[in-house]
This record gives sequence, structure tokens and C-alpha cells, in this order.
Amino acid sequence: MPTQRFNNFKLYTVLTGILLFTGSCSEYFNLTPPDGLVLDEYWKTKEDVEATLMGAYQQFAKMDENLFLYGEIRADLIIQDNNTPADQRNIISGNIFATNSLCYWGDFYKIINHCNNVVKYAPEVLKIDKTFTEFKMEAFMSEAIFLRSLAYFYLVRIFKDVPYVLEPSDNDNVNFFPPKTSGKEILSNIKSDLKEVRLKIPTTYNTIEEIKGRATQAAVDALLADICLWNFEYDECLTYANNVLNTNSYFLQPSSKWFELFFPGNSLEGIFELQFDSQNGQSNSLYQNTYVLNYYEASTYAMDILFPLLSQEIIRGRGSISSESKGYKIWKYCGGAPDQNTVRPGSISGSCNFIIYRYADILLIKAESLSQLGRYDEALTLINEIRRRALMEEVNSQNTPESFEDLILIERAKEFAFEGKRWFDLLRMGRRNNFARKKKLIEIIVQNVPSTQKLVIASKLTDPDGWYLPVSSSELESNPNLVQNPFYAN
Amino acid sequence: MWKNYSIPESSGFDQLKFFNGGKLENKGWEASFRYVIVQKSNLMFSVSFNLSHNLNSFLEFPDNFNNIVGSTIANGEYPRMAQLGQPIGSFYGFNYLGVYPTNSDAVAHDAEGNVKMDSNGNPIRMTFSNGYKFQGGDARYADINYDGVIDINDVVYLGDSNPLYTGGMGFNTSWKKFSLSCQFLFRNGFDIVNEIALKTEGILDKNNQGKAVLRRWRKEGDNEPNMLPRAYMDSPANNLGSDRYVEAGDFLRLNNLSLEYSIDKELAQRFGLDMFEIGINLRKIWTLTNYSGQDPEISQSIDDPYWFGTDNGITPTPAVYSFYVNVMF
Repeated sequence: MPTQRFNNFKLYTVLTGILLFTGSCSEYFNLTPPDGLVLDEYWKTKEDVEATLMGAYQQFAKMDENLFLYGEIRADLIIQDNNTPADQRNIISGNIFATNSLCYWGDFYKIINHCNNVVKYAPEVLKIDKTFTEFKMEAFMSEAIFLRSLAYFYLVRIFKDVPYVLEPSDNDNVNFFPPKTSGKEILSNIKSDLKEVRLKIPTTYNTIEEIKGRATQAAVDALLADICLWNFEYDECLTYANNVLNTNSYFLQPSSKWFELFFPGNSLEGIFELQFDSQNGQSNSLYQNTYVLNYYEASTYAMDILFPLLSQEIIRGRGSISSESKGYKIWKYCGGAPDQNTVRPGSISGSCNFIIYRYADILLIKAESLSQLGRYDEALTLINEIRRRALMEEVNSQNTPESFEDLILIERAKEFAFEGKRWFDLLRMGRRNNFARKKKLIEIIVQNVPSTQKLVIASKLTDPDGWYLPVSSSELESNPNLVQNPFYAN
Repeated sequence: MWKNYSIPESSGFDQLKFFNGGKLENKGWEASFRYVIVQKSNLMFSVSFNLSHNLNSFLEFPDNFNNIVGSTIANGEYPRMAQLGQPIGSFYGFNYLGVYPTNSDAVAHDAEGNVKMDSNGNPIRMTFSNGYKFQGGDARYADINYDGVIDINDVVYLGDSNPLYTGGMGFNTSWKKFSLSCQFLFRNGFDIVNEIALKTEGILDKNNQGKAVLRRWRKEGDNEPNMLPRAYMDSPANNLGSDRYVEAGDFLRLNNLSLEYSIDKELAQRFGLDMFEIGINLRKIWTLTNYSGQDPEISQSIDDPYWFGTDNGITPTPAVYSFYVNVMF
């Protein structure tokens, strides 16, 4: 008996010993999912940083259709066609509800989240990857900050006040419910971010697609000039516009090459373009939407100012609107030649780039600032430079800010038709000098709508809050800290 | 606790695939006992009984929680909600009060029961949230906040799919060579949404309808008790998720009855066998319940915090009658 008890005792001691040595229980509960990549395992090399950065660029490229719509759909250059989707028809007719799919800002925030990730984790990778230089890290972070700022610039112009998120959503404890920050504050923040990164960003890259498709110092200057103009800070705007001019790397293409600005793109005039290449499987959406699917047609006003027979705009008109037989469609993204008739073959149909900034834009931005500062002759020179390229006669104008504003507005409409800029130009005019020319904006928009809706739209546009889109209803439901734009809060 | 938890798009994402937030509490007790009443050489009789009781409730929700998910109040749907203090498995909907016999009955009332009038002295018609004005023959729902509109604000707590008590009892007896055992199962204190009735008594789509629709409202003035609302294709509000389809699911079921006879050892050995038993086993042969649907023993799933018990008419486990022989050689 005693031996057996002793044996039992030995057995129990050994068992307890084994249990104690195998460590704590919680180890067994810390399992990493076998089918996914966990945060700690990802940020290890500079290629990882660049990959996330490319994710941000790609997400921007996916938005070509939306960037086009935000800039054109409420403006006066396009009208709906047979197959325009219901949500877009609603916006065109002024019936904008918070359930409209264009109120979804998630795509912009995906870009912002990628950029925030790069900004947060690139310094961590610097410590781990010995081949990652500080210079390269600063370059990646600057590109991320450029993209983030561009996304916020769009958001502020479309929605006015939006949540200003600077931290990536990388764990459950992030505050997912930020309130809105005023657009003014966001713009001032992104301006200081951009000013800081201007000198750290590369001025050039190895391939032409990268030079025009990735952020460069000129792109940062272009964005800064645009933001300053939106804020009516004319002197500062001139500084940045002149920075681009002084690089001597961008030139107005001769009129014979105007059509090539869009296809194949990446010309000497482009500063920042979203890159597409059908042959690599990277097609844009605009070819389908503007040509195949019958979503839009050029409006009467667009015809008046651009159609060659009516306006003598042989260069710009032939490149912007298709012939009657092709249905007066938007030609920039589907045309094969500036003859309004030849369509690009299928293999390259979706290869046209979407231009965000080009040199002509900088010249007209500079002209707008100059004219508002009273330097009319200089402004006129620039406007005429643009017109000469388009083989149009030079113009003259009364030396007043309003008449120059009108002149530049029309010139921009002709030059940048269907490039996603018209609505923002109109808003700029409407907001200038504390909404002094609000009536003119309403007049312009109302001209483009059917007579049955003129009064309704005119009354809806009298409140400047109605110039922006509402926050989407699903976003309001999931984020109780958000308030709806007062114009739509019913 | 949550799957596919929606978060604002300003985070850069639409949803969190899994999110642990908030607190859920489960409290209860279990008891079982077995008593051998008679134990003699020839006769044995024992009874057993077990009972369990469990209450779960949401104690806390995560910050900024939007407790109305899928707050559609469309026909055939129950709004999926979660409320503090209520359990997973509770469901919410409208209070169904019958049918309006005539157009003039479909007017709004205030808290004292008086008809609400508008500025011209005309009674205000009851409307649905999309603007539809209720008419004679339409379903009548309780207007909880007396605002004259039936919408998400009139949704109330309707019931709980979790049983108050679950248990079983049975007895075991053997006498000489026979043995008999019997096992009951019961669940009590829970409600079920009869989704089959929901789908076949709405009279508003192209589904096959049950016999109950024969006693529906047909013309102004009809006022039979228990009549269904009128037939109206694509009616906006006649089949909303309400307590019309909520029934008590309490049941008592005879789950297992078996009778066995063990043949004498000597007799068995004559056949060359060491043991020879025969028996019959009957499963799920009798159910006592007030539930009008097919089977109140619905499956419960607690991995979805918005789950509630519905009877979708899934093929239930069948009653089984079997005869068996046990031999050993």
C-alpha cells in the first residue's frame, strides 16, 4: 500500500510539473488567422510601403467616372441621354436626396486611409529595412500627403464640411466616429502639409507614366495654386503658378497635337494624369459611359461654344464633341481622331488618361488671379496664349474684374470641357466676394435645364448650402456625430 | 459579438468583419435529479427530471452603437434591433389591432382616444411612413406615439425567442425480462414568428396563399372577428412585421419511448447466441402545443446578435418508429 501511494504521489508531481512548465493558457488562445496577413507581418520592406502607396493611386484611378461627374453633372455642359442612371438623372433635375449614390464618399476615404497608413508606417519600415533610405521614405510620404490632400480638396469642394481623418484605421480602438471639420480648416491644413512636402517630393521619375501619373513637385504646386485660387488668395496663387511655369518642363502642345493630350496622354502639357492602358487591363470607365452606354450628350450651351460649325472652334471643338451622326457625344474620351467621327479601336478604347492638371490650367489659374488683382494686361496675354494655341482669334475685354471673370469662365469651359472642372469653376465664381455674383451662377445653370424646372432649380440654388451635396443617409446612420448639411436637413 | 459591423465610410472601410464590443450577460441555473422509487429483484422503477433556466441580456453596447440595423419596416420584414436589457432573440415590430372596417375608421387618434382634426375640422387620416393613407380593409396598427403616422417610431418589443425553462423528464422501468423507458422534452416561455403564415397570408404578392385568406375583408362595412386585411397587390403596409404572426411556442414532446424484451439466456443459447434482445423504439411521436405551425422546436442561433426565432417551415426531424434486435455471439 505505501508503495502504491508513493507511486501515485510521484505521478501527480510529474503531471503538475508538466502542466506548470507548458506555460500559460492564454498562449493557446492567441491564434493568428492562417488565411490572412496580420498588421505586424506586413510593414517590413520599402516595397510594402510603395505597394500601399500604389493602392492609393489605383483607388484614385477607379474614381475617374466619379471625378468626371462631380465636376460636370450639376453644370451646364452636359445633359442626360437615354440611359442615364436614375441617381444621375435625379441630380441633373435638382432632386438631390441623401440616398443618392453620388453622396457616397467612401471611395475618397479609402484613398485617405491608404495614405494615412503610408504616413504612419513608413518610418517604422525605415527602422527595419536597411535598404530603405530616409530620402526615399520622405518621397513616399510626400506622395501620400499629396494624394490625401487632393482627395480632401475634392471632398471640400463637393461636400463643404467633412470629417478630417489623419489616422489610419488599423485597429478596433480607432475613433471611427469623427465629427465634421469645417472645409476652411481642412484646406488650411492641407495647404501647410503641401508646402512642407513640396521640396521632399521627387521632381521626376524613370518612366513617362510615372512622371505624369505620380506626384511631382509641379503637381504639388498645381494643387497649391488651385487651392489658393479656391480660397481667393491671389498673390499666393501666383507664387505657385509661377513655380510651375519656371520649371520649364511643361508647354502648351501645338494645336495639331491637342487631341493627343487625352489619348495617349502623358504629353508635355500634362502635369498630373490618372493613367489608363487597356492593353494592360487597366481601362477607364469614361469610354463606356460617354460613348457606348448613352449616358450623356453635349448640352446646347456646349454646342454653342464648342461645336465647330457654330463656334469656329476647330481644334477644341473637333476634339470635344462628336458629330451629329455619332450623337453629339463627349468626344475626349472615346475619339480616335479630332474629326468627331473616328472612334478608337476596341483594344485601346479605354486607354485615354483622365487629366487632373495640365499646363493650360495653370495658365488660366494665373490669369484669373492676375485679373482679380487688377493686372489686366498680363491676364489678357495668357488668355490669348491659350486662344492662339486653339487657333482662335485674340480677344479683348473691359478692364474690370467681372468682365475678365466672364471671359475666363468661357475660356475655361471651352478648354476644359468635360474634364471635371466646370462645376467647380462655377462655384468659385458664385462664392467670390461673398456670393456677389450668385445670381449669375443661377442664371447659367438655369439656362441648361428644361423650362418646367427652371423656377424650382433657381429657388433651390439661392441657398449656397444647396451647392454642395448632402452627406449620404447611410453615413449619417452609422456615425451619430455627423450632422447633415442644413440645406438637406428635413 | 458582432459580425460585419457597419462603420462609417470615413474610416476607409465599410464594415468590420468581426467586432467585439459591448457586453452580453447570461445568467441561469440547471437542476436535475433522479430517484429510484422501487428497486427489487424483479422490478425497478426510477424517474428523472431536469430543468434549466437561462436569461441573457445586453448589458452594454459599444460606443456610438446604432441599435437599429436593417430598420426596414417593409411588408414581410421585422426590423432587426437590439435594446439594452433585452436578450438576443427578442423581436420587435408593430402591434396589430385588426382591420379597419371602413374608410372613416382609418383616422388618427390622440392619447385620450379622441379623433385628431386638422385645421379645417376634418379628421386626419392615418398614414404610413411613405405617405400612403390607410383605407377600409387595411391592417390597423397601434400608433404608439399618436402622431398619425405608422413608422419606425411605432415599433415595440414583441417577444422573446428564448425559452424561460427548458427541460426533460422521464422514467425507466424494468420488470422481469421487459424494460420500458420513456423521455419527454419541454420548452416553455418563448415566442415564435410564424414565418409561413407571414408568407402565405399577406394577400399582397404572387405567393400561394393559405386557407385563412378566405375570411378576409371584402367590402366596406365588413367586420367579422379575426378577418384578414383586404387583398391588395403590392399593398404598402398590410403585412408588416407585427404581433399578428407571433405565437407562443411552448411545447411538451414525447421524444423517446422504447420497450425491450430480453430473451432467456438458456433459450438464447439454444440458438447459439450469448444474448438476444428485441425491442421497439419510438421517437418524437407526440407533441402537445398551441403553436399553429409545423414544429415549434426551432433551431436557435446565437452567433447573430439580431437573430430572432422564426419558423421558416424547414423540414423538421421526423417521427421514427423502429424495431430492433440485439444479438451477441
